[in-house]
Amino acid sequence: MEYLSSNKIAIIDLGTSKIVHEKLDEDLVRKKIGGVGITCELYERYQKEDPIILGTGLLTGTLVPASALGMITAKNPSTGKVCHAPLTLYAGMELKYSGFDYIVIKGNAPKPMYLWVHDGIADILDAKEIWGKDVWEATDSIRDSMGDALIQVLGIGKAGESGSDFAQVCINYWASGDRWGFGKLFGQKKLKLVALRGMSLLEIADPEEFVRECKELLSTIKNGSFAGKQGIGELSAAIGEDIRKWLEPIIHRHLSCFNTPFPTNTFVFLDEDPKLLKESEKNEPGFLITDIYGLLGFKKLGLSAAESSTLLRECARVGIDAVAIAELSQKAGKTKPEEIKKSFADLKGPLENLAKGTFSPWASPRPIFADFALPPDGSQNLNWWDRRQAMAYIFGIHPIFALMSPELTEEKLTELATIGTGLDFTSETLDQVVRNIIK
Amino acid sequence: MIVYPSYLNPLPFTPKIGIYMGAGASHSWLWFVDLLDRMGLDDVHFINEREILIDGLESVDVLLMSGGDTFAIAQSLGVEGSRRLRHFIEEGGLYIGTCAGAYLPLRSSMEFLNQFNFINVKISNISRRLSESERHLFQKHACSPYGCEFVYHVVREDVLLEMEEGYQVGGKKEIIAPLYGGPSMLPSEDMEVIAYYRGFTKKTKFLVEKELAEKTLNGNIAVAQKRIGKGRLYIFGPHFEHPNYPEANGIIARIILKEGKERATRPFDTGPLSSKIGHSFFEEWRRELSHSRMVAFGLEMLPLQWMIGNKWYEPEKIRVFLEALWRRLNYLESGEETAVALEDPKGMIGRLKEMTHLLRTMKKECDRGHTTDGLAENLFLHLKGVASDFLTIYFRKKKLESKLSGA
Repeated sequence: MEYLSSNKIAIIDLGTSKIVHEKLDEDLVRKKIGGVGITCELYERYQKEDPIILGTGLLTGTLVPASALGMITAKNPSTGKVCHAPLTLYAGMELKYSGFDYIVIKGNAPKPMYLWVHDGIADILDAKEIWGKDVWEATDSIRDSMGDALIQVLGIGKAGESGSDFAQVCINYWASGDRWGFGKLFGQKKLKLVALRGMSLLEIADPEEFVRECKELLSTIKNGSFAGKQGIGELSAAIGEDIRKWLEPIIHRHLSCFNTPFPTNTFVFLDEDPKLLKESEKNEPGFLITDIYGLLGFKKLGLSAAESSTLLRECARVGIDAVAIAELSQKAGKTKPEEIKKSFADLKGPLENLAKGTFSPWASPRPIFADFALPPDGSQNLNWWDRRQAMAYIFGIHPIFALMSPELTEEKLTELATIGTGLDFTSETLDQVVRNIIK
Repeated sequence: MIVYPSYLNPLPFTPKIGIYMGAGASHSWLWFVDLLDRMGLDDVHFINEREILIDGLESVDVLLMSGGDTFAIAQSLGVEGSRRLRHFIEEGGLYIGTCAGAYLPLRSSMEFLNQFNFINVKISNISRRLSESERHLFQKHACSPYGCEFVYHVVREDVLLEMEEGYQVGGKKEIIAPLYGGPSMLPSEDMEVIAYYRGFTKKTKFLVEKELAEKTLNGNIAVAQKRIGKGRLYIFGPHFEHPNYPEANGIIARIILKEGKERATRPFDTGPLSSKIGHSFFEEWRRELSHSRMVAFGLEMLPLQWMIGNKWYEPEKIRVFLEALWRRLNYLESGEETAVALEDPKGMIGRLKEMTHLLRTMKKECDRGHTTDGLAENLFLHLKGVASDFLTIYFRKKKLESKLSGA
């Protein structure tokens, strides 16, 4: 695979420490396009070895607006169903540039390990120095030892190490859209984290046309219905749970994922003055809210924005899904922050809101800001949402942004994939891939 | 996109070319590497001061000496180095010096430099030619100490040059090349002029008032040559070898192909063929170059500068080394295992790992707010060693392949 690709798949066996590099077969891309189209194929190929597949969309890390998405495809340890979790912020982009389009992680390590994937090299390294550390400490440790603060870390904390059903794979210091307990899978494999960094380049089949089309698309998109809005507060209003006034006093700034025109993340200052504009001497001051539903869950317990965000921070450090913690705390009648914090390890039981689909419900179940011309009774929402998410996870488009930008049509993304790769993708191919994924 | 002219070798032999990368050399010798690579010349060797002081010059037909710290180069070569360099030229060798490599053979009364004095010429960019008020205009970056005086620099980046007949490109008199502290020479009967400084372009960065820049450069000599015995010296104030200036590159290519004489009397000591070096060897290179590149990139985000010898170094120069290797790595990884002559493959990997270690240590020290001058000096020494290790393998593989394809 010559274009928009590193042309490499790493097959990593944690049990034997053997790493095999395979070329990304162009025929596979013709048939499955990319992203979950291919992670599902790789999952089936290695399913006997209970693999975790890391992947990127065909357009991830390019000039295509919102091309931020990478993904984890694996079996949900609670339901046994194969699901996909989004890798946003800069993790999807970094995976694309790490020299591998896809990484298959199979087998269980005999002792704690971590993967260091960079510029076409994948190394299995001893994690004895970081096993037992929380997500933040482990991220700091890897970045310090490698001397690079831009390394993207997909890691687990104590929740994953101890086999919690709600353990989450976090991205650097922050919560991810892993609602499936993939952190538990990492823990079972004795895999503390995957560190990603790449300074490679992507080749484009027709670079001039590709850049021209991307610029044109961006100029159309940026005037969309989200224009002038930003952050978690506006997202909450759009999904009918307006928390803008509640959150406003602690907001410091908003943060976009790679090349995404709408900032879906909001920095809050918990220990510092939110009005502080100059850069703090602390690394990554405050806390980045990346998961609206976790925040809403704690709000429902009657907590303040600062209390809720402090709990989100604790969840991120431990590497546990805040949505699950909020729901189980409510069931257990725990409403005080300290009480909830102390009970992370003990909270157990089924979740009423356990996600049942294939794609993470981290992205809202309905359009955001925009009108996608759906019937007002919501009768088509589910089919539409599944297809929209499938499209995002195939091409590598931010799954929340995909819900707010009708301008990012399937036709346009298929066209960009054709221009970028020189392969002739059709709507029929996309239909076929989508059907296979959401069957 | 830069379009490079093609350089066909009309010589009945492939010249053996030495690139000086020893004491005092900065990073611009890598630009010569790019130029030779584009010319398809693969008999390329990397020479340091120690090799010149034994008989390294007996193994090359051409010596390329690029930028850096002229005093450090002169001091490390000393009287014996000067003698060997003169002998090399007298016996038919071709010396091409740019910037520091151009200052080196000029007449000087300064200690160490006075051992060379191959060309009797004065420079215009010395402080004794300035008025008292003008002397105060110069900041640390725009001058280098020269005894009680200083050599000063009035512009950086593009300068416009007027080429003499015989050196014009496509009938054009004017050519552009970048100037990074190289000499501006006054007329002298001891050399033949090839190009004069004529003016500036939009890309010229002025370090002083334009009038003073014009007074210092315009009408003075930028490029010249001199015959000594059977050989020749070519000296370039501007960096004609810079990869972004294909027309200027063409002048150097023409000189090498026109003046290169087959004179090397002994083969370069390449040692025995090592056992085949293959994928795991180059994987180690990829791993460590990747590590080093990412730390170096991080250092570029910091306000750093190091004075090494008489020259300022910025973090960006680290990546000039690393990128020169990185973009050639795919070629070395491709194809079958190769049996090139390597003296010490394990030592190469050791030096490579040490480079990563030094960079990471520097980054940690910078993050703690500590000075890193000593580490930086050590690092640049390592970078030169690692780069010449890598490029030696690269050119040996190219040479081997061209032999095989010729056969």
